[in-house]
Amino acid sequence: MGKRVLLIEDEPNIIEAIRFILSRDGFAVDTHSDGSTALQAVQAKVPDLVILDVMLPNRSGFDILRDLRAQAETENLPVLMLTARGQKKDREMAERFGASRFMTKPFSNSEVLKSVRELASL
Amino acid sequence: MDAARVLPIVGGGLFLMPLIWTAGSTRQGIIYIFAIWIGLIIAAALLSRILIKEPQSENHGATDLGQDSGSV
Amino acid sequence: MKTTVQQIWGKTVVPFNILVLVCILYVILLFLVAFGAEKRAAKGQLGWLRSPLIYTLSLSVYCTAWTFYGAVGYAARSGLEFVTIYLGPTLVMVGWWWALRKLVRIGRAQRVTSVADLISSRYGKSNALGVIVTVMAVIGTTPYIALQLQSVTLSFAVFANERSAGGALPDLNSTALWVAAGLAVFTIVFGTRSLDANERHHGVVTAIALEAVVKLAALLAVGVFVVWGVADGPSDILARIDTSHFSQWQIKGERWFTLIFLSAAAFLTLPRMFQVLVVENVNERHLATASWAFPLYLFLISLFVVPIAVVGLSALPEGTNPDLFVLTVPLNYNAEGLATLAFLGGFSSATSMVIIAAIALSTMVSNHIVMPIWLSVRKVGATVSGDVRGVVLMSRRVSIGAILALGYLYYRFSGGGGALAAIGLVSFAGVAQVLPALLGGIFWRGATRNGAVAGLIIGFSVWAYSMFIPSFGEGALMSSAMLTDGPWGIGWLRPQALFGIQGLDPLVHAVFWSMALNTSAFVIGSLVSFPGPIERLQGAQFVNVFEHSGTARGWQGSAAEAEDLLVMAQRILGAQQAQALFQAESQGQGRDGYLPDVTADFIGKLERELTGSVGAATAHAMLGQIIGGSTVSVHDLMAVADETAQMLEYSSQLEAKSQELARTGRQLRDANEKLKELSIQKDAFLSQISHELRTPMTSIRAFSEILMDGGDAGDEYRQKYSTIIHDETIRLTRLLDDLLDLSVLENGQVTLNYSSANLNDIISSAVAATSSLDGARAISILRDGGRENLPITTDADRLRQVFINLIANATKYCDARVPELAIKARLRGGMLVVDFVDNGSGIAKRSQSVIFEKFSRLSDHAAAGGAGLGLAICREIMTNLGGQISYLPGQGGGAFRVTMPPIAPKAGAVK
Repeated sequence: MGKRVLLIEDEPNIIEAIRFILSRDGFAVDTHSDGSTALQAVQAKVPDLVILDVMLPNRSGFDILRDLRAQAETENLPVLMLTARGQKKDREMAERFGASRFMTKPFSNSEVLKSVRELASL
Repeated sequence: MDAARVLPIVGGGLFLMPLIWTAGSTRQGIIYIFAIWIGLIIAAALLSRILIKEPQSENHGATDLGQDSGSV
Repeated sequence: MKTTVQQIWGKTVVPFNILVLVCILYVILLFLVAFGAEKRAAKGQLGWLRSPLIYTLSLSVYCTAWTFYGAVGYAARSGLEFVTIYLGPTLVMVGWWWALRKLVRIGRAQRVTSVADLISSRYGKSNALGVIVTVMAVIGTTPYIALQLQSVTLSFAVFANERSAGGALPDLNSTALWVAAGLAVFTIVFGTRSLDANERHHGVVTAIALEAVVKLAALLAVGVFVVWGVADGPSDILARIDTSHFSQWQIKGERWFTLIFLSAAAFLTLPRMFQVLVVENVNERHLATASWAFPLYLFLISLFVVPIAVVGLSALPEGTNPDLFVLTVPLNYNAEGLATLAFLGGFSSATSMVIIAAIALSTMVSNHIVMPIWLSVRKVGATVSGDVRGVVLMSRRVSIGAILALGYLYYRFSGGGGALAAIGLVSFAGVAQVLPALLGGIFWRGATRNGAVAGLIIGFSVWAYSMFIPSFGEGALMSSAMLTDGPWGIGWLRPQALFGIQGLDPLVHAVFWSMALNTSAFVIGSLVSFPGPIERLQGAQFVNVFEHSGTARGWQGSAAEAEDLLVMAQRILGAQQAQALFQAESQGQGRDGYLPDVTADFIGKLERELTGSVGAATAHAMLGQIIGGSTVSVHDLMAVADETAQMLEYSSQLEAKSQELARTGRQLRDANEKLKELSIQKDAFLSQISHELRTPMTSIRAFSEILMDGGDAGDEYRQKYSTIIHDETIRLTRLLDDLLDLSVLENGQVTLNYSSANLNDIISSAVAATSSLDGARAISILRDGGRENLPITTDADRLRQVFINLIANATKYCDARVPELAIKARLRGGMLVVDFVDNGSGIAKRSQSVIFEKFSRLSDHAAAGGAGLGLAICREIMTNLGGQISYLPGQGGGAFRVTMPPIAPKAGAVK
């Protein structure tokens, strides 16, 4: 059984692409599209890794990250942040809130895969 | 200028000298007073010459007013 | 007195008629001299008329009949004490650098007309002070005039007595009356020829100078006759002095000192002395000459007084009136010619004094009493018709007459009593009360009007109580009981022993108390009161007369009309002189041929001219009537205030600047806020754009990489992923199109193509366009074609774009199971209204306000395409077409209303 990855993302085409890439490498990929319920989805079944988009419907990815870090069981959970807003302040905010890694869209498939592998093996 | 100011004071003092005389005659008094008097007059005459010749620094704007006297 | 005269031996020499003839001839000579001098002055040929010699001789009005006759009598009674009366003036003249020079300068700068005018002008042009000083001067001078009349009458009597055997003795009273009347005529003729007192009475002054020569010559002649004719030269005289009853030095110290002081004070304050010293002075330099020449004159006048007295005492019988020794000694030795000369000398002394005193007093009375009353009675004052000039001259003439009448009446009712010298001293002490206010006024800037009033009134009252009233003799005006016991028996109020100080000489006592209380009241009054602005200014002008030779300017740019001023000036100065004055001013201002501008300078000049005619207070009041009294913010104060004003201006400039800075700062802050806001908006917008662009690009990159990898992805996947890449590129293109479109619309740079169309056609075309969209879900569209049949002039393509957008939105977002869209068109209130209402759940209330903003995509229906710019573009299009688009709440679903005019406004302009 491969490592389990939870992808929190609202853009269908991007979900499709990431799922394809990771599944091909042996990861189990679950997806969630709504910001407001994302936290529960994580807590319901804590994955080995979370891939988190910033601009989600109803709730910002940063808020979700902060909540994850505030709870003991997800405190050290590896989180890879993805955002289409590739500005410097977004990267800083991600670091401050405790993102394990930060990547801007559009991303390189191989880099995403590499990052996921590294984070999942911790 | 200062001499012109001092002169009447000196003169006044001298004119009052008879007050401290304890004795004496009218004759002496007359000679004394008139001598002082003529002395003052001579001193004033000399002083006025000097004062008039002096550039009238204090008297700027002093003009001969005779010209004012036009007719009505 | 008559008995005394009759005791003169009857060695008849000069017939009384001849004496009268000589007298009349002498008077005619005086008239001619005065007239000639006036003529020469009128022609401007002043020449010797304004020499220092004339000035010096004119000062001899100090030496009155009291000197001429009385000094000898004084010497016969009290020895050398008479000389104090000349020592005081000598000291004042020798010390001219102290006070006289300043007085003359002030008198000239301020156009002072009298001692009352000087005091009034110095203390804020206060007419009250002018009145007080005038009244004091009249009271103090009247006995003195009476004294002159008496001496002339007595001297006549000496000669008349010679005729007593052959004819009736002329009535002494009528002689006095004739003398008084003659003097009045002379004074009126030569004293009131010109109105401007400052223009100087050349005729009078010349006549006075002639009289000065006559009286000096007469006294010297008698003296020489006595010393070398009667006695055997000076040594004989000195020997006779030693044997006379005053051979012992018996000067009373306090009297000696007091009399020197008193004569010095009176020399400065006597109205007639002020007249000749200050008012008639034509050149300050004359003062330098007079400073020694006039003491010399006094010296010569005094030189033979004692010899005449001792010879008279020894040669004439016991009981002979020593006051007339100057006449009776020559008569005694049959020197008739000499006696006649002596008579003329005495006559000259008396007349010159009366003439000048009358001129001085009449100026004061006219300027300080008559004119103010006349002005206040005729409230409308200076601007009504009527010759003020005539009024002023008439009031002066009447005043002269009244003053001489007063002197005559005093002579009549005092019965010619008392020794001449005593009356003279009483008068001296009276006018000397002006001294503190006068000297304080020119040396002390702190002196105030209140102080001057207090000092004058107290000093004058004490003088009247302790000296003037008792001088009428016991029981005359004051009971002897009052003199010995005090009023109501109050001992310390005894007139001649005030505050219990007894044993003093009455004269010393009165002078001491009056001057001491006067000065104290003046100083204390000045210290406790504050001067007004004019007073302050005048104070500075007087005390610092040598520093600023300029004159007081109290008038500010005013509403006065030059014409009014000219009218008034003509009536005071005379038409010719007033016009000349105005013309000169016009030329000075470069407005030749016109009336001058009424500047502060000009008004100041005019005031000075008028002051010369009617006095400072009256001139000020008259100008005030025309100009308005409120204009007295004073020039020199203004100069002081200028600094303040400059500082105020500077600080107000600073304030203005700081306000401007604050304003600019505020504007900058506002601009900054706006910029920040814009910057935030821009950041947000760029962030949105970035997101909207990166999202499709992410898909494109990810899938193209998958495709590039080749590998195990089957054909099925390849087909699917290629399609995604294709769709995402279309999405990107559409996004860029929308952005450009919006940018053009927002900037108003869009070009609209107007045409006439039918609404029905436009809606149909829009519906057709949406139905052809790829992947569009089916939505039933409900229309009423008949009602849509409305003509419209607009840009049909743009309007269709709006409709397509709305229909596409409904297609995308309507969440009903069987989606429907109703399109209703109608004409309402002159506007075309098209509603698009679907049967979905609509838009949440909180979102309704933002749906028309850029990137306001409400949900994650990204797949539906569009970047959230659609409604923003719709809004911009409708604005450009002169209409609007709004969300209609409460329609049971998503509902949009499009409103527009049938003819777009810009289209109308095109047509």
